[in-house]
Amino acid sequence: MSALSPVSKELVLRALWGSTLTLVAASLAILLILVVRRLLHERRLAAASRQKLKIATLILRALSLSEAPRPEALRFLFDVPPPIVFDAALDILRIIEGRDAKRIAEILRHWGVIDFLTRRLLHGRRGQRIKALTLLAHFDDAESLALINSQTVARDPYVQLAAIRALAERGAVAELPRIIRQLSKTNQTNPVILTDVLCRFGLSAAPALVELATSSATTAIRVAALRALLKVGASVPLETIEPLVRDQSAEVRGRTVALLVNCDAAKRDQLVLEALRDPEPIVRVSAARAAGALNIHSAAHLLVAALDDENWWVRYRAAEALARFGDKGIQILKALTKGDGASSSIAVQVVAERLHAFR
Amino acid sequence: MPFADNWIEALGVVLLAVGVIQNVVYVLQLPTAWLELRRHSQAEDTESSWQTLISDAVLPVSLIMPAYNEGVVIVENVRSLLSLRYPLLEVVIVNDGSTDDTLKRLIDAFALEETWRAYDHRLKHAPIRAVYASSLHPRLLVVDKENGRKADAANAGINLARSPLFCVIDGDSVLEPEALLRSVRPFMDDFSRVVAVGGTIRILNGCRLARGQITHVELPRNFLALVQSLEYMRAFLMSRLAWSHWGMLTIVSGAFGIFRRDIAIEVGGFSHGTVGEDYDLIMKVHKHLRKKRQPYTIRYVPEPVCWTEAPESLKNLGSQRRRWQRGSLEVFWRHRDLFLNPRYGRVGMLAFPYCFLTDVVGPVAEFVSLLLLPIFWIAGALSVEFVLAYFAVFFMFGVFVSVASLILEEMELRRHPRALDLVRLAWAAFAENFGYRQLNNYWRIVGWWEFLRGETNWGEMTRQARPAA
Repeated sequence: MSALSPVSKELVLRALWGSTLTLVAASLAILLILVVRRLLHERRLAAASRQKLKIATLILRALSLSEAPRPEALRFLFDVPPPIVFDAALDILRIIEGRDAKRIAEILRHWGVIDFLTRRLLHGRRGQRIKALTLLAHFDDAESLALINSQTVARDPYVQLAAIRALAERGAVAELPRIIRQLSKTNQTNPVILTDVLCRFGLSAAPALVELATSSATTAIRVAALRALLKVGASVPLETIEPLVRDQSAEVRGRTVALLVNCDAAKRDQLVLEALRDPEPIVRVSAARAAGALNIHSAAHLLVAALDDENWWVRYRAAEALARFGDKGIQILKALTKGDGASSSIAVQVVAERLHAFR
Repeated sequence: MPFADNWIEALGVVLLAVGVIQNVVYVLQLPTAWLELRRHSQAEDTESSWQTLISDAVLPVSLIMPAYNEGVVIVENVRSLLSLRYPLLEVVIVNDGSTDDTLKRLIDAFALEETWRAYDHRLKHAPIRAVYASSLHPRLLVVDKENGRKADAANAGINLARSPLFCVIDGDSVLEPEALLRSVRPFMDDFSRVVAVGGTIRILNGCRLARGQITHVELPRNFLALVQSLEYMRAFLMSRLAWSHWGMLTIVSGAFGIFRRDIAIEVGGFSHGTVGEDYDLIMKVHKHLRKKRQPYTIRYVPEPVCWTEAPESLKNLGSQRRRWQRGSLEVFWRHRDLFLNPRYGRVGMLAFPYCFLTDVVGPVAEFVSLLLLPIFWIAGALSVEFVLAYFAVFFMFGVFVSVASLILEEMELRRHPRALDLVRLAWAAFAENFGYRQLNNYWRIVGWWEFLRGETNWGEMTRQARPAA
């Protein structure tokens, strides 16, 4: 400060105090806005939850009638802000299904929910769009189907997944070819949720899932299709998935090998044996599990060799597979426990694990 | 005395520069955090969480809790973990050679029986004495091992865990029921790239609990705990969100972070011999993956919240802050090759130098400023007006940053239920400048001194049974 002239010092001081005052004013303004906003929010929230409870009670009462209520009897819905009716209905739909769910959908249609949901899907935020799609899953008319279909091309992966889920809930298997085409072009998704959503289409979706797995979709989406096939327990013709056992992606190869347990062809065992020699551990792990599940005794020598694999999971799954062969496999493992090295160590651990298994 | 004058001016410029750089980063952090929140907010998307919960469409997670002499709270803590809403969860409790009745209480409460689990001994740790499982609680596994400290216990847990993801949680922490559901989502979106995800830590003091779950959220009445509530809010909602947006997150809190197991094993797990093992793990991950040129990302997700007990006495708080400072310095020293090293990209060129500024130079600069400004004033080198104006602008800037971070809280979390809580937090933002910040800085200087002396102890933290609802 000593090098500064008195005028400059004065300017520096003014700048410092000016900044301080600005910060004080800004802090107070922010705080005031936040507090007022919070107070208003608290009040709105309390009012909304009261109205929601009332609407839920009235909807439940309407459900208890022996016949569907006439439109004029539903006038109570028109006095309440649409988001509240929507939230109340969605809450109830989470815990009921079947005829009652259809009746709620009918009540909401009289109220004019489709227009409201269309607006939400067009202009709403992610959470609102997903909720709208969840509600649309309970309708069965063409208009709502078109609305859901319009969202299967959504850029937001979670909105897209919600739309596909809504179609699955409606049992819209006919829409699958279009969904498959759409997913083939999708770059980003949550493959774990996609697996679950695809499973909801059930066994009838198997051909479409095979088509997706063999399509030009991203690896994550193809893997999701394969996982869904395995999860629904679909029996897949071997010739349709055989090329995937030699796919470029190790993940696809691994999932396909896992799926072989659902195939019923003589060549299947040969493919498992081939996969036990795959360069990628993820595929060898799948192959070892498949060998155990399918009781492929001819794989015993390869499984014994896999007990010395560099990857612990391959060693462990190979030992488990041998143990699943019954007495013969256990005898092999017990013999190996007397040696040393990786195979002996894993044999000791798996034998001990089986001895202690009580779950 | 021209030499003295020049020296004083040079020092003044350095101190001012350190403060200004830190504050400029704060200014940049605020809008960046806001952008990140807009892009990845999960607050409104309750439906996706619900759908995930009612299906098993998640990645399996092993929740690892190292426990050392936690007999008073262990059963309640484990019950809390077992009640988490997560379909594919494995809870691994590692009794780290406790000298109290931690293990006995677990055996009695959960009907544990000795079992065996095959595992890969990739990470080094003290010998395991026994492994227990319960037929009543199939998700629970208890590992009893010889004492080796927290990092050692966590490594044992990682070795025995079977899920592709693991989360290490402190014994004094309570996870919100849906915390795992929300924090796992980035891994589900892109498992090949996301290697670690950190969640938000909040102060548990003042809240009420029942059966291991928070039933009523309230700000602490204790002043020290209240200020820590604000500190955590500022650090997590503003700083970590911004660094996460820039792809340069250097820490995922040890109290609540989820990691990919394979990557953690590749880097050797948690390091022994440091009290900043969480910070160290993230630096190891950065170095390892940058060396391998493997694309990766470490994310902070604000929505999942873990509540943890904050020290309420000066003694405990001082001990914690000294330990944190030592941990930061230890990690900085261990990974000093990262500093301004272009090989490590923006982590080496920006994030780590910023850590140097805040963790290494920051406390010393602040301490020297506090010490020297009055001395310069007494010596006549600075006018009282300047000293006051300098302090006022820096203090007020701190208040502004804290108050601004409440905007982010209001946007995403809104965990504190009343409008009055916002006022109390703003008051804490003001009051912390008068004593708390200076004391905190003093502890950090002591931490510096302890680091130079090579101290490695953790300090004592006694557990108390929690107040019920």
